[in-house]
Order: sequence, then C-alpha cells, then structure tokens
Amino acid sequence: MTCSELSQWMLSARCDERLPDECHRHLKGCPACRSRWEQLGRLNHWAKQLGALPASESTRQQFNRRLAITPQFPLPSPPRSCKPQRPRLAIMAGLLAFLLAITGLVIYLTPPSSQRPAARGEPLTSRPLPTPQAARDTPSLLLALLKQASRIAQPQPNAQPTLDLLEVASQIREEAFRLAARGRQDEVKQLTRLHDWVLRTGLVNPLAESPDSQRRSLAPSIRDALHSAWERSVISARDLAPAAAELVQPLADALQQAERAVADNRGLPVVAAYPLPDPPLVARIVETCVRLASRSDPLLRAEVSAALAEEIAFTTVILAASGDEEADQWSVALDEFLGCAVADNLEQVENQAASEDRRRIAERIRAQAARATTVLEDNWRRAPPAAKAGLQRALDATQGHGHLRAGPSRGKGVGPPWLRHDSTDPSHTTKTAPNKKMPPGLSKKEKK
Amino acid sequence: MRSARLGDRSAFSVLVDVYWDRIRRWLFALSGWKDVDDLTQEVFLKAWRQLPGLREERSFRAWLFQIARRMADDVRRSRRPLASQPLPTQLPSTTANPHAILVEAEGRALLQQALDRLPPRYRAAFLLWTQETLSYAEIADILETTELTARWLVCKARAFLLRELEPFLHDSEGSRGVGP
Repeated sequence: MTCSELSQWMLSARCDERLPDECHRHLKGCPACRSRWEQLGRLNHWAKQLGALPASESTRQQFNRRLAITPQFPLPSPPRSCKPQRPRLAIMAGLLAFLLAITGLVIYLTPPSSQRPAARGEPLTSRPLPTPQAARDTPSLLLALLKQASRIAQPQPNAQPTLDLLEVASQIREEAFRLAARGRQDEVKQLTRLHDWVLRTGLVNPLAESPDSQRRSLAPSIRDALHSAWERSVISARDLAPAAAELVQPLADALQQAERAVADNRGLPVVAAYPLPDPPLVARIVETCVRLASRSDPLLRAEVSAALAEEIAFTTVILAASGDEEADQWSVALDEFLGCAVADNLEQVENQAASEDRRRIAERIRAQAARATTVLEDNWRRAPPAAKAGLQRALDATQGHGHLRAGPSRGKGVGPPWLRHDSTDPSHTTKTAPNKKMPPGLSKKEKK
Repeated sequence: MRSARLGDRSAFSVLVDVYWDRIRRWLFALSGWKDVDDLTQEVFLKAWRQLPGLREERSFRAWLFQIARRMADDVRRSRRPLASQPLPTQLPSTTANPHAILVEAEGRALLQQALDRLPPRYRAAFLLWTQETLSYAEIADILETTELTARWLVCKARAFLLRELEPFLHDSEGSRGVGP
C-alpha cells in the first residue's frame, strides 16, 4: 500500500475504526502517514466538541407551550425521492414557463368581456349575487377559513375559540404574504386591515374584558403565540423583495401591538376592516368566526352560521354553474358547514328542552339554512344543460342536510337508519321522502 | 414513534428530549447564528406538523436532520452571512493540563474558523459524520444526494480542514494524545 492509497482510505474512515492489517503495516513503517492519522484523530476530537452550548430551559419551555397549540397536518405528505432535485425542478420550471406562455397567448387573443357573447341564456337567480371573482381571488384562504368556521361552530365542551381565532389570523397572514409576493398591494392592504380587526376584536379586547382568573390562565399562551407569529412573519418577510416586505410589515406590527396589549392587560381601539356597506365574502367569513367564538349559546351560533351558509350557497352556485374546478370543494365545505355549524347546534337546542320561544327561533333558523339548499335546487332546475352537471354535484354534496328544511332535526346517531340524513337508501332524499315516517320496504308493502 | 405519529404530544416530547441538543448543536456549528434556539424550535414544530407524513420505514433521525438542513438553508438564503459567535469558554475538558486546555480551545476556535470557510454542503456533511457519527447512507439521505457523493463531501471537507489546520496540528502534536 502506498502513502497516497492510505491517504484516501484515512480520509473516509473513522479514527476509532479498527485498521486493516495492511494499513497497520504501512503506518508502522511510515512516520508521515502516522502523523497524518493522528492529526485526523485530533480534528475529529475538536469537531465533536464544537457547538456544545449550555442548555436553555426557557427555550424548551417556550417550545413546549408552542407544541401544545400546534396541530399536526392530518394527511401524509407524498414520499420524497432521494435523488437530486435539480433536473426535476428544471423540468417543472420549463413546464411552468410553457403554461404561462400559453395562458398569456389565450388572454391576448380573447376579446374583452363587453364583446363576448353571453355564455348562458338566462340569469341563474333573480337576486344580485356575489361576484365569483371574490372566491377566485383567494380560494385557498376562503376554503380554509370556512373549514375553520365549521370547527369553531361545533358545539364542543372543551372548545378553545381563542386558539382557533389565532389560526384564522395566521391563515389571513399567509395569504397576505402570498399576495405580497405577487405584488397585489390592494388585496394585501385589505387583508392587513382584516388581520388587525381579528386580533383586536377576537383576541385582545375579549381577553382584556374577561374575568381575572380566565385572563391569567390564557394571557401567557396567547402572548407566546403572538410573539412566535411575529417572529415567523419577520423571518418570512426576509424572503420577499424589499417593496413586498414593506407591504407586509403592518402585519408584523399588528402582532407586536397585540402582544404588548395582552402583556399590559389593555384593549385596543377597533377600526372597521371594511368601510363598505357590502363587505367581501372573506370579511363575512372572518366576522362569522369571531362571532361564533364569542357566543356559547347554540341557538345564537346556529343563527350566525345560517346567515353565512346562505352566502356560501350563492358563491357555490356561481362557481358550480360556471364549471369552476373548485366548485366541488365549495360544495363539500358548505355541506360540512351546514352539518357542524347549523344542524348540530340546532340539535343541541332541541336536546336542552328549549322553551317555546327558542323553538320558534330554531324553526326560523332552520328555514333560513334550508334556503342554502333551496338556492342550489332552484338554480339546478333553471340552469342551462352546460351548467347542470356542476350544480348537480353541488346539490348531491349538500343533500344530506335536506332535513334542515322542516320539522325537528334528526340526530346523527338517533333513530332508525332510514330516518338518518346520512342514509344511503335512494328513497330517502330531500325531494322524494323528506317526511316519511316508516322504512322504505314497509312503505312499498303498504302501497301494494 | 407510532404514538407521536398519531398525535400524542407527550410521545413526541420524548423524541424532542433525545434530539433537541443534537439538532441545536449541529445548527450552531453549521451556522453560528444567534437565534439558533428559535430555529431549533421551528425545526421541531415543523417535524411535529409533518410527522404523520413520515414513512414508517424511514429513519426519524435522518428525516429530522433533513428538515433542519432545509430550514437552515432557507434562513441562510434569506439573510446576509453573519460573523460566527465566539465559542463558549466553559466547555468540559478531559484533561487537567493547562497547556493542553489552551491548545484545545485554540484548536476548536481555528477549526470553527476553517469550517466557516467551507461551503455549507461540505460543512453539513462533515459535522454529521463527526458529531452525529452517521453513516454515509444517512448523510446522503439528509443532504438528498447519493451515498458516493456524501462520502466524497466528507473526504474533501476533511482534506480541506487538515490542510488549513496543518501548521497548528503539527505544533500541537504531543500536547494531547488523541488518535490511534
């Protein structure tokens, strides 16, 4: 074995490994290689001692608090390859550039909307509808907020609405960062105002007005969460261009202000997020989240939720009728919202042996929520054939809540299967058998 | 591990106890950032969020270090390089010889300076190999490269450090009996 061969071997071997006999023999007879081997050993020894920092207990405690309020992602992420990423990235970048070029060409060749022929013959509904643009601008945010609203609205005994509102603020922030990176400053400013409004109306002010014991138990975790969010915002802003980073700076400032206010135990003045009389859908969902978080009475929660469900149904109709690929997701979100936010809360009202007045209010809320599914049915009947498929899917997704329409609600696990709203029996639908009181088989016998 | 994947925070805390100092030390040696504690927290929170997506056959340790490496890369890209922190002076020493203590402290300082001059990828591979005693296959997994490249990175890093520190290593011979 030569010195050069041994050198290669030494560089890739650990110093505590047992040396092969051949290496031993060479090392015994070669002082230079022996010295090099010892130097490598010393290098390893020093490297092992690098970065041995004193432990920080406060950091661990802070981490434990953050871990306690951090949810896990429910779905497994797709497996990642161990191969180098660059070729794949290059292919994806190429594809993206190609798609952008095609999209640009299509936009260039498409005539302005005023010159375009009407796509559908008749209006889908007689009342003015929210523009689908509102849903398309921030689809992921709206859907995420709607899911969050469903979560807050659920009648859970150990609910933590404060933490849910922190999540709402976090989703708004993420969207604002995404839009800032694309230079859409008007929308970022709107979301910034909304973010500020959630922090003040949903977190800081209710905490300042809450009883001492409750405030003392909640304030530290909220302060930590706000501080962590501020840190993350500052770090994320570094990834943006300076102009975009300046655009999102108020988000971080709002978090800092909120943190200080919580620490000082004081409220903050509230500024309207949207001065317009008709706020956009995102503001209406966020407002519903805040109102749901502040109310414990299931009747009030159901009332707030029913109003929003109607709005969501209109947006779903618009998206479904135009064949938008996100319409299915909206239908599912609407279905979930009707179930968790309206039906479950109304069911709780009935289980509480409510007074006559409360029952009457519950019926009114039920009728209001039923309009959400009625909107879909009406539009399905009047829609041109091209739009029917999308509306049918939306209708199918929300059919489980046909029982909201009339009479007392059927609990999820109460009563025989043919009366449950999740029954798979084809005869049990909102159109054909909303008021049947006997199993489908028996009803057939009776007809005979 | 299975309980942690299913959302058991206390089970995850046990894993955090095992790896906290190691990740923190690696990140510090890798970067020398002042906010290494914050970054360590972010690494573990991200691991917690993504734990359900970890395939059962995959090594948790390699997966965790991969998350740490990616986050360190992100932070490095988003900020200007900072001068490395002065090393802690109260490190436990295995020798009572004052001269040897001084030599070791100086050696560590010189090694840190030389490491700072190494490209991040080489530095990461070297530290994983020496401090964590990971195999080349695990280093390859963390750095998302092949085993052969991982071996090459470690060898090159060691050769570079040996060359940079050779005068000092030569002078300090005999002050401490480390090595075979």
